[in-house]
Amino acid sequence: MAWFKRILELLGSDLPAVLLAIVLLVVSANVFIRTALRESFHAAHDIAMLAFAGVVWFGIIGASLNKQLLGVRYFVNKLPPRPRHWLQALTHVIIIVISFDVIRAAIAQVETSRFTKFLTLGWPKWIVAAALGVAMGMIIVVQILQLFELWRTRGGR
Amino acid sequence: MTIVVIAFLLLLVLGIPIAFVILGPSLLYLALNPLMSSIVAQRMASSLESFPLLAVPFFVVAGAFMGVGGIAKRLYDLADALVGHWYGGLAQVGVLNSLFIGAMSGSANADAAIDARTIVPIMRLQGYSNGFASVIAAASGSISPIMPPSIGLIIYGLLTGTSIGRLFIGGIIPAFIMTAALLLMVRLISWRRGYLPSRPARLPLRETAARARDALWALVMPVLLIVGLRGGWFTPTELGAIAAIYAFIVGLFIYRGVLWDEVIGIMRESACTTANVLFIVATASLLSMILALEQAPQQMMSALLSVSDNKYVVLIIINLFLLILGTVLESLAVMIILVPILLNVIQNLGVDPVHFGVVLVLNTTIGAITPPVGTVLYTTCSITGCSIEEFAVEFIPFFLALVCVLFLLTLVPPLVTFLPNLLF
Repeated sequence: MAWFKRILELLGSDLPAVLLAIVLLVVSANVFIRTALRESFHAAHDIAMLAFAGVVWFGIIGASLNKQLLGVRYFVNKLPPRPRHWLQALTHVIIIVISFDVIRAAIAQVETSRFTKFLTLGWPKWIVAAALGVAMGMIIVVQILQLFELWRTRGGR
Repeated sequence: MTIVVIAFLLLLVLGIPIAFVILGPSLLYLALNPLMSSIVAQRMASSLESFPLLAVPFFVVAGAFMGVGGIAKRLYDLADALVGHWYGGLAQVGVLNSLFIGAMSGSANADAAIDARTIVPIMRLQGYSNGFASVIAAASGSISPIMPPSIGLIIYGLLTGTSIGRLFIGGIIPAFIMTAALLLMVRLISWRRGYLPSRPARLPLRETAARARDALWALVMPVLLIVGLRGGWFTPTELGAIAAIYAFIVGLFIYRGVLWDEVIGIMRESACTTANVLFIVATASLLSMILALEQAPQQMMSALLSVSDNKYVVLIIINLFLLILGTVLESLAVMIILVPILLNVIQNLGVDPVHFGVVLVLNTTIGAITPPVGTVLYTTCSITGCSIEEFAVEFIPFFLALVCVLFLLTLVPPLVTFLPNLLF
């Protein structure tokens, strides 16, 4: 299981960090090239937008893995341990259902938007929707792992 | 639509992450109505195809490098030199430090986290109550989203098409008013409770100057950024990138607070924060489409205009409504959901969008501190170990001070619009 979590961390923490560095460097390089060298870096915009989408889609895998997705836990935390346990399980199931539906939407988007492209790179724009689908798939895996952990801690009591 | 609203509230109470609270009912709406399912992915993907949105991760990275790299510490020392001899010296330092940090980070959460980790433990050692110290960290963090650069103002600018440069400049006077109000409140409370100054007398001018010189690289940064922005060298988004690179270079090579080994960790943390915030933005674009389809803006507008057609009366009602909503909803979600709706109302009433933007961001920032739900509240309390109940009691006077500033800014628009009208 540890190696699997490492892959998820690689995808959800390391990859977004690298992509964020790319966005930062590309935009800064564009400013430098434009103001100091009086040249233009046409691909900067497309590279930045693509890497940025990657930061967000893959970043939520890491946030989900580390249980850092922003949510309102106030009411749930007021509950006694047993119902809270079940409610947490229900929360994971709801996220899985929602993520499935987003994957379905992403597949539909990939199938229908064949013609729009990133102008300077020439890459199809559906790759952003495809990345969203992959991220949602990984979030489902994370939720299943967390459900499993929740079940184990319940069994341990 | 009723079932969608019920689903939204139910998921919220269940503690589902906000992004999924927005996504779930939106998907339900699309399932109940004859719309293509691909629109979900299309809207979410296209919402991120916005170059100005890149400013969010840039300022997150800048804030992270400032916190670790030594910029925050030097600003703290300078603030201590300036106000440490006042009643409640450390608390005063916390407030003034937030003004300095706010001039570089733009996030209430980042600022509150820095204060909660650095100033609160020292305050507790010097006899301040944990609740008071935690409230100082959280309340002073509210200055950051108003003092430019501000992530909240960038998102508002994107949602409404308002000039981000004008919004930034419009936040300067309000940020100073907020600082003055909080400093005054700290002084009053400290005087009553006997929280003594950090030192008996003002530091000698030479020592203060030495600390200012030590913090020079930090102090120069906002000036350079504003000059670069006004000089047309870079856009507000690119300004974020330059700020991040600047904070990185100063932290790594000049102040030597950051080690190479720590860089990847900082980038990981920044990417996680960015994804957390912008995933909500992406899902909210879906919700705003649904609200538009349901003609919610028009309904909201007619409801508000039926109360009064005086813009100040409507603005006060909007403020009260948002303050109440802010206690139970996450501030970013409030802004993303309601701004497209409220924009129609304020445009019809002739309110300057820059004025409304600053008022709205301040309002939602107060909402992020007020219990029971608030990200700044949770960030601070989770670091300091303060209970929500203790925090709530201690926050009351600061809440009143911030609300007074809010209504002052609402009723006197030139406090916001004077500088942008002068400079643009």
